[in-house]
Amino acid sequence: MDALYTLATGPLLMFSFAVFALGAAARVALFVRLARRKDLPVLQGFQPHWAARSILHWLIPANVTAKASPFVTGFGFLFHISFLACAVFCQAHVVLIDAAWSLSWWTLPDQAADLLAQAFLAAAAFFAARRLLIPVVRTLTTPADWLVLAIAVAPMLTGLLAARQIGDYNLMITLHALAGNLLLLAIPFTKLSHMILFFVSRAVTGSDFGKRQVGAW
Amino acid sequence: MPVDVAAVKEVLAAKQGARLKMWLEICARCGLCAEGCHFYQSDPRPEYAPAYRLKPLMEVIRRGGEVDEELIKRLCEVDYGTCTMCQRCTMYCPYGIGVNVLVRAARSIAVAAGATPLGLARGQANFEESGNNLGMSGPDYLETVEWQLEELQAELPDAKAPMDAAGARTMVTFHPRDIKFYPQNLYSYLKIYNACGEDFTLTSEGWDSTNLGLFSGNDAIAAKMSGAVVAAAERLGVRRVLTAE
Repeated sequence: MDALYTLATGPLLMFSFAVFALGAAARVALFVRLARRKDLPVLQGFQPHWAARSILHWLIPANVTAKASPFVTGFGFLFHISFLACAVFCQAHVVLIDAAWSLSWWTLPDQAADLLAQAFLAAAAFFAARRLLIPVVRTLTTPADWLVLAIAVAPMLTGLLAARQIGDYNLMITLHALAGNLLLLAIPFTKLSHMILFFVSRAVTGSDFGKRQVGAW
Repeated sequence: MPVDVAAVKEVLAAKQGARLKMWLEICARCGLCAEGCHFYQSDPRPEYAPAYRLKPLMEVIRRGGEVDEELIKRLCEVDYGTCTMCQRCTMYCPYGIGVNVLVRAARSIAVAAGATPLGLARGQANFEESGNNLGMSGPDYLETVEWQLEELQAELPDAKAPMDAAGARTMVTFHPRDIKFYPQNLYSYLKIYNACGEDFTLTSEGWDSTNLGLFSGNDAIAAKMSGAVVAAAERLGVRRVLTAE
């Protein structure tokens, strides 16, 4: 178990980070390359000002969907913010990074991280319930959607259990490290690529709406 | 009728551009698009959600274009039958996914499979014959314009309806419905253009700016239809074109 943990926080993690970073960059590069061959108007019509407006408009929950679907929007923002906050500012993560690269930054108090993890799991439960209970979402849902939700939830769930020392700590922290690796590896190859492609897609649509001067939407 | 799989494969390859691939991948199937859809809002059936329209297209891609009649039939029902490509769902999608682009790609596949809906196919055939989707003859069009101008001159004695006036600022075009069935609309248009003192011209060729090819997913005819309007505008040397609703 210890060897597995050492691997998952050492060489494997380096590999996963590399796949994540290079994969994310490659997704953007591949989009541009394919657009050059098969979607030229997307590149010709690109308008940085409108792209930026569109991205900003959807990074702030004050758009038409926030009004039409306030709960989904609220839980959606909670889901993403709590995840990124825990991933980047959790004390244990920063300590590991400090040990590896002598890089360190501000960290979340443990209690705050605990609260954010609970908020994340509540939001995940909300989204799972939507997929099960709301007819339109249930009809749209595919097995891949469940798999991706599980990949996103696994690191947080195991992280919370490890931090609270519930269950076998060694097992839990090893599972946590493995789940983190799996998530990093999955980002470039699944719909989790929206981490990068959200910005590309909004830039494309923002430029398109900008061409017609119809607002950021 | 057997489906022309080779033609479907060819269109499928051409349509799998950067946006289509990205949007089919990142769609979270969250269903928020349904809030924006007038089909879903008037009858909230799950199959009316805009994201549902991606399903037949994804199935065609999954099969690598090896489609059968049953799949094409389902694609037609969903992608022609439940969408006007109004883009309202795009406004509600957090990613801004252009469902209209994806629906049009799906329709292109139906076109390649020889499954263009009858009404659209008929309008396209009319266009090929007469230059407008309702099959009006040239003399009928010119006579209707003259007739409505005469009516208008009873109200506005100085009213004009210049035909093929080179160098005008604006070339106006129409939906042929307004000429054939609702000439009083033509009357109203001419009244507005005259009242606001616009330097405008009508055109005897390329006056139908509706584009059924854009709707049906037929790229060749779509290009021909907009090409006819562009050719008229270039011939007359106008600065802008007013398109129909």
